[in-house]
Amino acid sequence: MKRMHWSLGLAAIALLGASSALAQTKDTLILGVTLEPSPGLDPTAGAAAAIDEIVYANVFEGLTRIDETGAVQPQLATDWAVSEDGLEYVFNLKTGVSFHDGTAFDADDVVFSLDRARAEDSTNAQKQLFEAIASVDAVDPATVKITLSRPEGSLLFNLGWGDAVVVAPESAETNGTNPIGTGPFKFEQWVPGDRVELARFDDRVSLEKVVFRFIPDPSAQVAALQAGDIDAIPNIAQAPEAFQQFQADPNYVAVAGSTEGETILTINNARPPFDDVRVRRAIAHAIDRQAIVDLAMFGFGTPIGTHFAPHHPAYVDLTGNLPHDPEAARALLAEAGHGNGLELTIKLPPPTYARRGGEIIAAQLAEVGIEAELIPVEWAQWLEQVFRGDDFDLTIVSHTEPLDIGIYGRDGYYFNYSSDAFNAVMAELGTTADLQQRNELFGQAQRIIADDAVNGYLFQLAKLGVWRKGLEGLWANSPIQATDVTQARWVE
Amino acid sequence: MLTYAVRRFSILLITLAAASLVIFVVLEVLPGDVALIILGDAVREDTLAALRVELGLDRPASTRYVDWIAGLLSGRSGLSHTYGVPVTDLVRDRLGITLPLALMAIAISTVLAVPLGMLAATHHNRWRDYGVMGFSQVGMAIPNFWFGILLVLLFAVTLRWFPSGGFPGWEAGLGAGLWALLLPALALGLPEAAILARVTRSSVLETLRADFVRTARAKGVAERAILFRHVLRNALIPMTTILGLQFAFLLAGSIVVENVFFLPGLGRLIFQAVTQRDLIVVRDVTILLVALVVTINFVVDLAYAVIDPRPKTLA
Repeated sequence: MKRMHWSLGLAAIALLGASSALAQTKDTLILGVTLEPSPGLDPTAGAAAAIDEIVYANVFEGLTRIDETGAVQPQLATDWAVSEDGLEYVFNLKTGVSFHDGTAFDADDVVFSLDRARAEDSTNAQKQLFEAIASVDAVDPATVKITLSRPEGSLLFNLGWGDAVVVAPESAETNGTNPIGTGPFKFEQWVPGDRVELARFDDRVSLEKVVFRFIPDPSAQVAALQAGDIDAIPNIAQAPEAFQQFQADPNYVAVAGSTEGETILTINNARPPFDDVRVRRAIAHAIDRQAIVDLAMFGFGTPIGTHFAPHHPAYVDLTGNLPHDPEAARALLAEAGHGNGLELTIKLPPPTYARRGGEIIAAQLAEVGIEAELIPVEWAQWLEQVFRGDDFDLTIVSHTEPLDIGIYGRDGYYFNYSSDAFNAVMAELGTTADLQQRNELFGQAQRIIADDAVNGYLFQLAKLGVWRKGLEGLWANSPIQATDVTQARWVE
Repeated sequence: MLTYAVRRFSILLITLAAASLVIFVVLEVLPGDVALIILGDAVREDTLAALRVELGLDRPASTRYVDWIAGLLSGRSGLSHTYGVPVTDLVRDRLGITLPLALMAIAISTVLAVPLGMLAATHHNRWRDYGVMGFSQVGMAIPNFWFGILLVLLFAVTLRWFPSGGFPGWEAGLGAGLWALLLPALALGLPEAAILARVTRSSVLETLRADFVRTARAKGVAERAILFRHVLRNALIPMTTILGLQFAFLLAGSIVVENVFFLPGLGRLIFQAVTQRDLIVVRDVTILLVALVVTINFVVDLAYAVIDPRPKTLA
């Protein structure tokens, strides 16, 4: 009898809990995201993708924006004209726009924002985006002129980055804790460790309220979606196995899209024996890309043979260049004087693709006589030891910046590659404006690094989005790190 | 008594000073540069240098240590790199979750463990005893993060009685707050209950064999009265010691459980601060926890002295 009372009581409490969960209205969107932004919510003050994933396009806007396909679209600039020599850009600005605190937006804000980002004491993480800019001038309140010191083919794209958004001088210093932009959503509150809330600012958007909840554990994200506590997980690539169960469930939409993340087995080209191209080619031959994608990412991800995104028109499929061939790998190792085997280490940062991919690559390397020791590291250690300290043999990392093949020409970049042929192609690209020719040159660059087997090219990272049925307008792909909810809406 | 208290208090101060130095030095040699973590891999050298100046990291370590201690003494804490707000603000909000969570977990483990342990002891070597011991064995073997996921799958996903995690805030009402903490407290408290049940069983068993119990039985005292009035009270002493020790374990366990249930508690704050090298938060929270523990020890020492005069002469 006593037991009866107890269970009835529990059931009654449970009903109360359930009814409050049902009271959710359909103009609110709750998203589950893994990382909390740091430091603060100012996209011009930190490199963390987690910042852009909340405020980009939603709270802050730039002169241009990057859309779902990776194309440049007008944003605060309505249109622009480029001079014959490519050194002068004149932007016409939107009028009647105001910041969330009521301050009017005009050309002076653009000048302020860009000058601040490229200033001597600037702490903008992507300061190099603005390197070509010589001066920024307000022609009149609705017109801005940017003068370059050298032609910069990707200026319009660069201005669409989260690091290039327009801020107001009145609020620039406090954007970290109280972000004030011109976007269609305004910042409401940040409950540290828990959530960030945005509210509708103007009628360009249909949602009344957007909540980003910080859920560090991927399996907890899945449970939260299934329990109805959140509506969407923009990217669950950390737990690709969970994605499959949503694909089979008619109550959810599961979209596998692409990202700009070339996932590579980075090789320290300066450290013997990896300065020998035969050893690097042997590593490339030892790798079975499809097996890595299948086993580590449950089949999500496109194998790549070079450092370029497969969805880009200039992409050249070079996966057949140094195919999976253990025989060839062993022969090359013997030729390079490592017929008796080779020992090396692979440093693995935290993401799933690295930790799981590392296990599989170690097994594949073992088949050709290379003994790999796996060393898990935190991001903080990875940045310091691998990226800055060059203290590594091999590592696995996804390079998420769009169109970043230029890093192979960068002096002292952590994989320590240097090629005159490659640098010549890059120099030519810098002065070539014609799209056809540019793609041709990008193709040449891809072939050079593939032939030199600079790194082991694994796969293009997938974006695995999952959300409740009835929600539309979220991005399938991730051309830049953003969760643009300006087009999101509930339909029934 | 007074000299004893003064001596204990000076030990407390020395411990705190030593701890602050250890914390500072350890964080100083920890690999990882907060400026680099904030600005990422595409950053230019001059930008890194500019941020280090902004964060005050360009000053010598000794200056920063003195500043930190001076700040602590004057009651002002540093600004978190991650949140841009004073650490004291963060800690206040977080304690409002972690402390009730730990207390609920202790309550759950006590309520479960004490009757079960007594049941096992009074039915020594019979099936109830084996049942309780079996439960305790399983309870100790289950990691609390995994148990937490199981609880979520059953009560949040399938039955939808509870939220899958998160915290609505105390402003949503006491009931809603406690409701949100119940599953995490269960996940945290059950493995503790398993340990406590074992301790209860063995200390009750031991007391049952004591001479005074035999005397009581010989006097004809009812078995129930013996059990509750004499045995339990005596057995409580080792149990209380274990409970006290468990409180520290609960704070550590909250790091794991708060991640599974995405609760914005103190455990998650420390964990996140360490991975992001928000060392201002790490050192302030760590010294706070050290202060908490040594203060509790100080109070306990004084309490011992009041209850039992012997430690005074020993000290």
